Amino acid sequence: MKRKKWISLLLVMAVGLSLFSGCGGREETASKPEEAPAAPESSDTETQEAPDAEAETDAENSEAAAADGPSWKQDTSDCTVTWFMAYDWYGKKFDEVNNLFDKKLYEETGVKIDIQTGDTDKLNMLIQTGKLPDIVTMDANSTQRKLLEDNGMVQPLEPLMEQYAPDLEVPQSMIDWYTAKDGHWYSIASYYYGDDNIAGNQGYYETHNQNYVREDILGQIGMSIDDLQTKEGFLNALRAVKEQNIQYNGQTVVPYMVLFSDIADIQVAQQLGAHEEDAEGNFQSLYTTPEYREAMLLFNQMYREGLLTDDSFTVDKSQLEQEIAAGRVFASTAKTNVSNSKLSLYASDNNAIMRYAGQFTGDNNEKSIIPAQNNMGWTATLVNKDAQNPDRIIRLFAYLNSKEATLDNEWGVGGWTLGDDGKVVRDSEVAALRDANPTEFTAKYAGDMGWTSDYTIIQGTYPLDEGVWSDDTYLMTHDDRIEIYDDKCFADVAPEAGSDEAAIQARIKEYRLQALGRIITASSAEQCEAELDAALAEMENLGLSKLISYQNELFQANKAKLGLKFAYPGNK
Amino acid sequence: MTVLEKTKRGGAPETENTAKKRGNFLTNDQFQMQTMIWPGLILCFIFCYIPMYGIIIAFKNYTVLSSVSSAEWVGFKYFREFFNDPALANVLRNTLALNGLALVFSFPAPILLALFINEIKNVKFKKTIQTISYLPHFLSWVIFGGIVLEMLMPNGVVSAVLCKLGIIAEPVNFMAKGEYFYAIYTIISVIKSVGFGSILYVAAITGIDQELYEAATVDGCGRFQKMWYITVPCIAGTIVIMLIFQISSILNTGYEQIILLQNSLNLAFSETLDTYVYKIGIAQSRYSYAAAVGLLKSIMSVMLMLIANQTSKKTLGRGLF
Amino acid sequence: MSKPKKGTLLNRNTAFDRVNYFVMLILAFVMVYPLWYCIAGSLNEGIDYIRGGVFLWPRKWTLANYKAVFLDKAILNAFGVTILKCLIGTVTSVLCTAMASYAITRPGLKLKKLYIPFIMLTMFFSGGLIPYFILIVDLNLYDSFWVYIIPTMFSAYNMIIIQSFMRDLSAELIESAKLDGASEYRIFFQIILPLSKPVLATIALFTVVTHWNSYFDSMMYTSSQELQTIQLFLKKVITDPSVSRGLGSAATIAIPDQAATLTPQVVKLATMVVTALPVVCIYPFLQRYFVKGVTMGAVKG
Repeated sequence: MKRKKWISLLLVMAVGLSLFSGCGGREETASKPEEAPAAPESSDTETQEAPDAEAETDAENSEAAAADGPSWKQDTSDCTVTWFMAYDWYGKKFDEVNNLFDKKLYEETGVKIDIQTGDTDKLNMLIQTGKLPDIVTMDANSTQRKLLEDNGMVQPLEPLMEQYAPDLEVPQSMIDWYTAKDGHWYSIASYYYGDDNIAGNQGYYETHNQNYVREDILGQIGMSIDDLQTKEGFLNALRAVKEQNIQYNGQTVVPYMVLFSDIADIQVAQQLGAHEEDAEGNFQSLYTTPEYREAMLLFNQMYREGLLTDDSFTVDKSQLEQEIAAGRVFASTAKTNVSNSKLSLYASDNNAIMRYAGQFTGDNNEKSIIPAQNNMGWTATLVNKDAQNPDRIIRLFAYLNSKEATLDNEWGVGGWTLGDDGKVVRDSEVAALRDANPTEFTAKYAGDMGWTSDYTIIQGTYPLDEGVWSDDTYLMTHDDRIEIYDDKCFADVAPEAGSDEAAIQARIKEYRLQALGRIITASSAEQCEAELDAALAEMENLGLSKLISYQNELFQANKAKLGLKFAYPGNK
Repeated sequence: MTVLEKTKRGGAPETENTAKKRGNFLTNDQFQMQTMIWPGLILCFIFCYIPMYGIIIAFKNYTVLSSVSSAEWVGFKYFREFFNDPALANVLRNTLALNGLALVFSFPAPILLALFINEIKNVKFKKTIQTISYLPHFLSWVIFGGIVLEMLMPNGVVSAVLCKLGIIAEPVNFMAKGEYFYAIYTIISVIKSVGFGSILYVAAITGIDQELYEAATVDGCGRFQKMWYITVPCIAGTIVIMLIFQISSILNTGYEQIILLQNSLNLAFSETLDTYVYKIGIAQSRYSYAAAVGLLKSIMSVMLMLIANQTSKKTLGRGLF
Repeated sequence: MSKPKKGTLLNRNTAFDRVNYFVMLILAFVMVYPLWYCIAGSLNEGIDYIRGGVFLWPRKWTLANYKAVFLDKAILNAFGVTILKCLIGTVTSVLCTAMASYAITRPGLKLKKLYIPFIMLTMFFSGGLIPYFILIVDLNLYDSFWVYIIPTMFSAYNMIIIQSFMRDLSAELIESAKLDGASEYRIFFQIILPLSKPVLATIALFTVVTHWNSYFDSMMYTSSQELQTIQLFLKKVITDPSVSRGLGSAATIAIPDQAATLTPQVVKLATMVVTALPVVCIYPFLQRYFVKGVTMGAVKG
C-alpha cells in the first residue's frame, strides 16, 4: 500500500520534472539551429541590419584584418556570461532571436548574457556565499561596491582593458574617480558625468530640481514665467490662482502640489540656496541651514494660505501624476513627477501645457545654484575575480559603450541615423512604435542595457524633433539663469551598510518624514519655527552630529581625490 | 498491533505507559506511525533547526563579509539599542493598538461571516457569496493599497458618498488625519482578509452533524439559538486554535501593507515594530539588529502562546494539542 | 424526521433571511469592487486612465494592455513553472503534513511529548535569511526547481489545523478498523483521508494560494529566468522602474507631442488581473468538498 502510493507520487514528480525541464530544453534546441550559421558570418547579416554606414565599413574591414577592427570582433565564438543586476524590477530576458539589439550584440561579440536579478539582500547573500556571477551591477554609491573592491572579490579593469579592449571608451575622469585604495580601477559607471565626457560629447549636467507651471493658467492670471523666478513672485502667482478660483474642466485647480514623501523639502531648500558644504569647506546637514528654515516657513505660509494642501503629504507618485494629468494642479516641482503626466495632459488638451519654469530664489541668493543629478553615475558594474572569460567581458563592455550601441540601445536598432548636424534623426516607424507602445518597442528594437552607458553621447546627439517641448528641453539644459554644479563629492558619502551610522541615517530620515508634517502644517510662523527647532533638537539627539562628522571624512576624501578645496561653487 | 486494541478511549497516558512497559517499540503499528511523522520531523530539522545557529548573530556584529561564526561578539549591544530607542514607545503603542483592534474586529469577522453564510439557504447564492468574499485576498497589497488611497482622497469615492449622505459637510482627506489611521487600517484589513479567513470556519461547520440541528429544530430552537448552542461550540476547536495564534502574534503587523499607507501626517500612528525594524535593520543591511529584535519577538510569541494555550486548556478544556 | 417543517422553513423567508441576504449583497459588493476596479482600469486606455475617474466602467475600451502583458513571452513560462510548483508543492505538502497530523493524533505514538514542542518551536524561531540561504546553497537547492517544493513540504501551522480536525473524528472508527486487522497506513489512506476532505481541501487551498502568491523564494533562491514564477514577474511589473531610474538618469525626457497610450499603471493592472484570475478560479472546484454531511454518514456507519 505504502509503497504504491510513494511510487505513484514519485512518478508524478518525475513526470512533472521532465515536463518542466523538457520545456526549457526544447526552447534552447529550437533556437540553436538558427543562431549557429549566423555566428561565424556575423558581419554578413549585420550589414543588412545596421543603419549606420560607418558600422558597415567597420564590419567589412574586420573580416579582412581582424586585428584592426573593434576588439569585440576578434573572438566571436559562442560564449555565455552571467550578469547579476541588484534591481529586482529589471525584467529583461536576453533574446538573440526576436530582439534586434540582442541579435546584433550576439552577432558582433558572440556573447549571450544570462541575466539574473534580485534585491540588495540577495546581493549580500551572493557575496556571502561566493555565488557571485561573472558580472555584478549595483548602485554606484552603494557600500557593497566598496566591499567588493576592498576585499579582492572583483578584478581590476585597467589591465583587462589594456590587454584585450583598448577601444573601451570610458572617460579618464571616471577611471580616476573610481580608482580604489589599492590604486586599481574596478567599476564602470553608467550615466557618469565628468568634464571630459561632457566636453567630448557636447553633453551637459542635468538636474531633476526645477519647477513647472501651467502656461495656459499663467496667461489667465496675467503673469509670465519671468515673474516666477523669485520666491515672492512664485507665491504671488499661487495666490492669484487661489483668489481667482481658477477652474479647469469644472474642477478647482490646486495652486501647488509636490511630493513630500520624496524630497520636495530638500529641493525647494536648494533652490533657495541651501547646500551641504559650509564656508570652511566642511560637510553640513541641509536641515540645519538657514535656507532650509526659509523653505519650511515658505511651505508653512503656503499651507496656511491654502496654496498647498494636505494632498502633498498623502499622494504617492502615481497619484500626483494623475492629478497633474487631470489638470488639477497649477504648479509643481521636480521633473520626475511631471515629465510623463504633462504629456498625458497635453494629449487630452493641446492648450494645457505644463511648462518648465526654472527655479526661484530666496532671501539669501540671487541665482539658484543647484547640484546636478548624481554625476558619479547611477550604477556601477564590476567583474568577478573568478569570471570565466574576462577578455570577452571587457570587450562586451567596449561594444556596449560604443557610440553605435549606445544609440541603438536608446532609439532601437534601425531606429536612428545621424544627420549632417550630428544629431539623431529618428526612423518614423520605429519612433511611432516607441511613442505608442514602449513595451513592444523595447522588446523588438531596444536593448534596455544601459548598465554601462555614457549618457552624454545621447545628450550630444539628441534629436531636435520635439514639437511643443523643444524650447523646454533646450532651456532646461542650457538655462543660464541657474548654475548646476558637480555633485560627486556630496553623492558618495553613504555610511557603510550595516554600520551604526547607517542606522542613525535611517532614524533621522524616518524622523524627518514625521516632523515635516508637523512643521509645515503649524498654525503660525512662530509655531512652525518652534516645531523646526524641536525637530532639530530631536535629530541631534538621534546622532546627527555624529553622522555628519562621519560623512565629512568621506566628503573630504572625495574632495582630495578631485583636488578641490571647495565643492560648492558658491564657496569658491 | 496490540497496543490500541487494549486501550479504551480517552486513556492516552495509560496507553503510553502500557506501551512502555511492554517495550515493543518496533511493533508494526508503532513503526508505521513513526514513519508517518518522521518525514515532517526531518524537514523541520533541516530547514528550521539547522539554520537556527543564525540566531547568534543577534549577539554579534555581523557584516556581509564576515561569516556567522567569524563575526565579532558584541553581547547585548543590539538589544540595548532597541530598548534605548526613543521611538520605541510610540512604535510599540501603535503595534499593540493595531493588533488589539485586530483581536476585536479582524479576528471574529471571519467567524461571523462563516456563520451567516451558513444561514443562507439558496445554495447557488451561498456559493457565489463564498467565492466573492475571498477575492480581495488575491489583490496584491500594492494594488489594493493604491485603490484604497485613491478612494480616500478628497476627490475620491468615499468623500463623495459621505457628502451625499450628509455625514460630512465637505470632502475630507482621510489619509491626512493621523488619528483615523487605526480605523482605516482595521477596516481595510477586515475587507481584505475576512473572506479568505472564513474558509477554515466554513470547512469546520461542514463537519457538524446535521442531526444536531434537526433535533434542535424539534426542540423549538430559533436560528440564533442554533447558531449559539450548536454551531459555535462545534467549531470552538478551530476558533480556539486561531485565537491562540492571533494572541501569540500580537507584535506582528506585517510590513508591506502598513508601509503603503504611511505618509508624513500619519506616521506617528502608522509606524509599527515590523516597519520600523525593517527600515532601521534590514534596509540598512543591519542583520544583527534585525536578528536581535526578531529573537525578542519570538520569545514573546512563545510565552504568549503558552499562556494562551494553558488558559484555554483550563477554561475551555482544549488547546492546540 | 421533521420533513414537513423543514420544507416550510426553506420556503419561508423570515425577516432574518431578508436582512442576511441584504447584508451579504452589500458585503459582496465591497469584496468585488476592488477587483472590478482593477479590471475596469485594465481595459481602459492608459492615457485616458491617468485622467482619473474610471470607477465602474472603462471609458475608452482597449485590449492593448493585455497584449502588452502577453508580449513578454516570459510570462507563459512563468505560468508553467508556477502551475507545476503549485501542483507538486500542494500534493506533497498536504500528504506529508496530513500523515504527520494523523500520527500525532494517535494516542499510541511514542515520544509524542518530545515531538510536539520540537515542531511547535519552528513556528516561532527562525535563524533568519543568512544561514537559510547558505543552507539552500549547501544542499544544492539554489537555482533548482526543488527549492520551491522541499523546504515547504511540511508546515507546522497546517499540521495543527489538520490534527485538530482529525482529533474530532470518531476514535471508535479507528478501533473497529484495528480489530479488522487494518494497518496504520491503511487506516490513514482509506478511512482518515476521505473523512478529512473538508479540512484537507482547505489546507490544499491555503497551500496552493501560498505557492501561487510567493515571489520571495523565486527572487532569492533562483537565478535562471526559466525558474521565474508568475508573482516575481508581477513584482517586476509593479515595482515602478521609472521611479528608480529617475533617480539616476536623465532618460525621463520623453520626446513626442503625444504620450504613449500605454502607461505603466494600466499595464500593472492588466498584469495583476492576469496573475490573479487563474487561482481565483480554483475555489469553486474545491467547494464541492465543503458539502454538508460528508462526515455524518461515515462516522455513524
